[in-house]
Amino acid sequence: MGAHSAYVRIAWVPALDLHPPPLTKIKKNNSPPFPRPHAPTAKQIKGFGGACSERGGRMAEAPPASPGGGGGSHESGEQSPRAGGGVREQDRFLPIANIIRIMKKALPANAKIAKDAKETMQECVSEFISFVTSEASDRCQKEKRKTINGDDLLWAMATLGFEEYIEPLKLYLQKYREGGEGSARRELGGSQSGTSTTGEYQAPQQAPFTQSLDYVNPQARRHLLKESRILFEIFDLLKL
Amino acid sequence: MLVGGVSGRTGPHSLPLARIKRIMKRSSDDVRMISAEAPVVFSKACEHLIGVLVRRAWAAALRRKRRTLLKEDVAAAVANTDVFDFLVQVVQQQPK
Repeated sequence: MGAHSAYVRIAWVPALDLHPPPLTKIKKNNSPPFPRPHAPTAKQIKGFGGACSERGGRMAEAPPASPGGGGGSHESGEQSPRAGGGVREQDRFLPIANIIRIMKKALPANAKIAKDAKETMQECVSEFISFVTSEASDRCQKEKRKTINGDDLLWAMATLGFEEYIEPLKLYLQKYREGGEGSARRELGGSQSGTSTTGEYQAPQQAPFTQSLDYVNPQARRHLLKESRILFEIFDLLKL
Repeated sequence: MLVGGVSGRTGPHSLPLARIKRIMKRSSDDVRMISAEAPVVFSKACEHLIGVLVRRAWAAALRRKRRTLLKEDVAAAVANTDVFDFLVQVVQQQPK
């Protein structure tokens, strides 16, 4: 019996991804008496942003935002012990190595990136996730749904002005859904590796370059294509 | 090709999905459940965001005749782009 219950516990925790189970329980119990106002104002979001983006990990910044949200005192009280004084960096940011890799992919090879720029970018990405998630979460609440899904996020991004992201993301999501577990993800990985982060630029430019670069070996060709594409994009930006 | 985590999820995505999910949960008390595809969307969206922002920042660095990307270039890129208004505070926090 003991072994059985242990098995159940192991099976449950990762499935629900409840890192601190007591916290979620308390939240669920709290939610009916404290209905949240539907749309958090820009101020609230910004207030949160200030808390999130400070590197020192001061959760003390969070409570001011929560009471504005309506009766959040219990919850923020719960969150602080979990934060344990300073929030761990791995709870607030994506790994900097991944961020740097993506940054370098978008820049010419000779570009250097200062450390503070990398860290700023790391903070910006976390802020972006929070920003979009809050918007999507509001929509779910209005529609009385509990789960935030991919379409909610796409909708939120469109609402917040990131329309240009939508099409590539829809494609990506569609591939992900079709492929389910294995094959399409591998495909996704394959198609990702050679191309840059933006899908729309490579289509028109790849054709003429491929022809003229036929004699170059594939690896060097890919490199040249990437470099030229980046230079074109940056040139466009400089004209603005 | 399926590298990394036991579930194989870390493979093709360039950013760790579990970490994205954790940041999503932190963003608001209302966030309870997150579908499996939501972090996937974010992993791609963040890549896109970084690409756009970093190129604009690089353009700012070039305008100032530098070949090193500094925080102030990111700040300039944020200031020059309307959709990045939500990042203004993040970028400003340095001068203290």
